[in-house]
Amino acid sequence: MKSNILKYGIILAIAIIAPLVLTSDYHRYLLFLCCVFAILALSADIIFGGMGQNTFGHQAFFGIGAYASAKLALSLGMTPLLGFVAAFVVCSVVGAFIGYVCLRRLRGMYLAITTFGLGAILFLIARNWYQFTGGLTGIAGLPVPRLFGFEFHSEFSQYYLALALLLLTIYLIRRLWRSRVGRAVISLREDEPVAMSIGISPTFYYTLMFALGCGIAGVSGALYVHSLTVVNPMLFHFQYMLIILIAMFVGGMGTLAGPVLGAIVYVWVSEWLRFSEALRFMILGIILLIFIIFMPRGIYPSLVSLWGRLANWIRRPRLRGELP
Amino acid sequence: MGSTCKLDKKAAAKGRTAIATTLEIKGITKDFGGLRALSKVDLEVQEGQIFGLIGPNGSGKTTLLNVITGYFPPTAGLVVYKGTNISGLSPYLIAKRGIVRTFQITSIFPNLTVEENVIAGSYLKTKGSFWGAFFQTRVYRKEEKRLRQKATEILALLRMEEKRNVIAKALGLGEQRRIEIAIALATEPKLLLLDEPAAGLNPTEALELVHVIETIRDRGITLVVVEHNMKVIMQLCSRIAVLDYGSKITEGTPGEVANNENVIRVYLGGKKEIA
Repeated sequence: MKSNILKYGIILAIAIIAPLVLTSDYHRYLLFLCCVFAILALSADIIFGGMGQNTFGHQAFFGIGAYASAKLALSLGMTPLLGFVAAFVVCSVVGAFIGYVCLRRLRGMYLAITTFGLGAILFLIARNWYQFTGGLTGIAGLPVPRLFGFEFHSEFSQYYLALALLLLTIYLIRRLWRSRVGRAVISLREDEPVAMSIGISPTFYYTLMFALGCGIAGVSGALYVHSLTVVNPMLFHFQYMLIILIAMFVGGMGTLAGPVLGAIVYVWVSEWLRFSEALRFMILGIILLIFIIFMPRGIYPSLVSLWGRLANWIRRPRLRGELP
Repeated sequence: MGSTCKLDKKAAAKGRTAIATTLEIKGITKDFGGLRALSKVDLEVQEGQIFGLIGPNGSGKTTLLNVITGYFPPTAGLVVYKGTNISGLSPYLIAKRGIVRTFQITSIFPNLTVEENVIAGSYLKTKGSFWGAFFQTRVYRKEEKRLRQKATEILALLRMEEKRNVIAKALGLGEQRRIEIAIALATEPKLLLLDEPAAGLNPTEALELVHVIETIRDRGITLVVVEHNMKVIMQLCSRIAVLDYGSKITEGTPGEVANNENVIRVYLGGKKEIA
């Protein structure tokens, strides 16, 4: 318990100090991006790691959340922080509908194909619906988030806002898996027929989790566009799904630290690859492949087991002495 | 259906001396395409009974269990539980009414610890909302504590306390079978259906299983046991039904069934074939 508090304290301290060390706005912006993509990857991991199902249309909810909040801010003058809540509500309602239709019957591969198609359709709609989405140029001039008169204009302040939301997301998901709802979902993932035999409704819980994942993805989308102050249909692009996949697979699926670590790795590696826009996603794809083949569980679980083995190795001689 | 309701009320009016029918199966038929897996099976299970279901491989025992618990909808016939028709309901709704089953192929939650498996089984008996967990309310913590106590109690009953923190898939088959029963017990069922609980167990483990099942019955739970191990069945059951090619060929006490000509023919072959 004590060592846990120490561990989390150190990580939190690093996260808080990071923008004070990296003083350029460019680096602070990258830190902000890490938080946004970490929230996005964590939301997808509820479905991938938690439910054990695949969705390849998750990027659409990043876009829907962004537009929901942006449109409400522009047409009704809603303050962006309330817009985040609205994005969550809109995305979870849409997600619940899609989830209910798909998850009533589809699982595994079939669900993956269906959601993939759905994502592609939503991208096309967003790109071609000029009146609403503003076409490929999008809509500019969104307000930045405000709180008690303070405006999150600088990269520095936006990072802390994103970090706060990330911590909230982590806490929410952490508690979720320890609640009755989370346990029901874990049972379903482990063995659906057995879970049904003890009274758990698959459709209800799968839909609920799908909706929650979509809602959180919507929040990350809204957070992203209100800091850029521009929203455009490219947010619906499959590229964001790739970011999710890289963050999840490289970091470690089904863990809390994994997607966050993966998001950090993605943001920095993709910045190093800026020298060639054409090669960037190709090289990222190769990295993803290498990880899937050689480190299928991802960085974080591998680090944990390495640490465990190291700790065992250190302890071993002492233990031997004590045993008769 | 209506008549059974009346019967039940009459039985209730008479008091506890009347034997109540817990589960009634009326003319259940199940077709898989052109194959008739079950044809017009009738059964009655009394409260507090251990009811045995035997028959050669492929005689439809597991299919019958699947029909009762809602995994397969019946082609024809009714499953009546305590006076209500439950045929065609989803498995989780049937579980909510207190009918819980285990599976022929050992089915547990493999990546969870033994204790987590049992706690997962308590799903129906918990009420905690997500917000309770989010804010760590006192109600939530109290319920967590209660769940752990209950898990300990059930694991003690099955002599599994020492294995509580072991990942379930790391255990041997005999112990996995016991976890399966532990999960089912955690739901606090009224009617428990066990599908070949002794399959793959050695004689000592099978004997232990008999004791466990008897303890479960003594807690007031009605049991239906599908089993190939005759020693287990004859020791446990007060009433046995025999299925062959999807039809019930006989029903009675263990003694009656063991001496029934039809049963001997089914299990050992007919006289003609022997001669």
